[in-house]
Amino acid sequence: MATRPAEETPTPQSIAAYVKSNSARAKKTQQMHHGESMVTRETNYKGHHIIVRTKYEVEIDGQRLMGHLGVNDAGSVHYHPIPNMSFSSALDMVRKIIDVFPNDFRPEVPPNPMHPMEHHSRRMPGMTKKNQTSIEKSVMKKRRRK
Amino acid sequence: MAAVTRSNVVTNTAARQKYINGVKLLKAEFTGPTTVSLGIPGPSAKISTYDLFIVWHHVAMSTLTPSSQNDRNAAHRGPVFLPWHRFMLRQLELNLQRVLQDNSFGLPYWDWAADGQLSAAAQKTAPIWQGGNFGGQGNPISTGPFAQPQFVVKIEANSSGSLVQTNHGLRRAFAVNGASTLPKRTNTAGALTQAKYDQAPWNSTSLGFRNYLEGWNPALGLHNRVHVWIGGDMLPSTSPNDPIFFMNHCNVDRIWEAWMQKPGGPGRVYAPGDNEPAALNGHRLHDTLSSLLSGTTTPSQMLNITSLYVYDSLVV
Repeated sequence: MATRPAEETPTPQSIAAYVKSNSARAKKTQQMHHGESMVTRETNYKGHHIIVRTKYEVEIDGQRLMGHLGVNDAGSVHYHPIPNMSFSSALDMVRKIIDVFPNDFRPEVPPNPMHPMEHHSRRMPGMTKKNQTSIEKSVMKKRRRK
Repeated sequence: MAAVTRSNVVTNTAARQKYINGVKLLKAEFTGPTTVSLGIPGPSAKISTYDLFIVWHHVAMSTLTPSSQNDRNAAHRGPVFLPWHRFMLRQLELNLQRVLQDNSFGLPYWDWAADGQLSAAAQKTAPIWQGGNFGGQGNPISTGPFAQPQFVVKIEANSSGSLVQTNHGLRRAFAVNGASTLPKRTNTAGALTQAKYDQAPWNSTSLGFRNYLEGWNPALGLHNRVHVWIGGDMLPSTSPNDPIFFMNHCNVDRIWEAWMQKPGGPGRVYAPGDNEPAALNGHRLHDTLSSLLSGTTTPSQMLNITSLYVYDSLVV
């Protein structure tokens, strides 16, 4: 039987204990990276069962966006990391993702005349490293050596 | 224990100041959880009690209910939106009472529809955004009690939907993300005319009070519109980073209470019931709500809260 929360007065000890008991669930959501989103919509119509499956792969600057994208029954697309917005256009959605996560999508940096390839090495923590180019990898290696 | 009274954060100076003080105390309290213990990458760092609410919101939002569909999650885009946030607000209220050592403290609300009656320009400089209240907009904001270095965002979601450590001042950017104005009184009045709480398909396309108030149907309505209008840190799944989050949701909760108490209205009803399919697990009347830093509860137990708190006004 679930306890009505008002029956419990929180304490630092109770908070620590509850968070510990729920930590596995929190950790699990940290591992939910997709890279591609398979969206399944189902309905019944005049005795027929309809399933529409749509696969989305979003790339920005050649790198895959890893969050979960959804489409509701009305056809609007949404992206879980920006939960209060929906879009009629997936492109508009991706533009907004770039706006909302400035740390992940830094503005294009003009090439440094001394190191002309360095502008390619913008780090995008929200995106897969799978598509990192050999040039980017070599730049990162050089930086680590320094 | 007597029910506490929740009042208007703009007009009740004492409640506002207690809220600000309490948030800062919770932001400075560390009970043991760390970034490592919750799977957040980077060096191990203690997570404050306030920031645990941010993690909780993100975890609930990241839990699809069920995982075979892509719309409803454990706190949004489905019937549980209102009871889950009521549960969250109550937990915050109890923790604020604890650190303030004041059991009479009631969480205040921001009556955003009142500000929605102002001109678009005046909405951006309404009293709530003044330095003595919540501060204004900026990247980061530079006025008010939640400006850096007094208040720093430590955990946020990144574009992949993962929690990451960060260290920046609170960000707000009014009216630049597609919502040029706040909701108006006519919009809240429209919510109160909804006859049903919720109905199939129980998601972001449903007709009914919950989805009207959450802001999916009609699109970019009420609750969602407030998040989008404020912008900045109110946009990602870690939106409780901005203490105004709880003022928005307290007003959402007040509108729900107004709907239930409306003379001749539906009363304290909820749907779906327990006889609905397992695909609605997490959203039915006696299903367990997602929790993190407390015991759990059910939508049923969130329907009548008058023994815990009351609102000073149900004029929404």
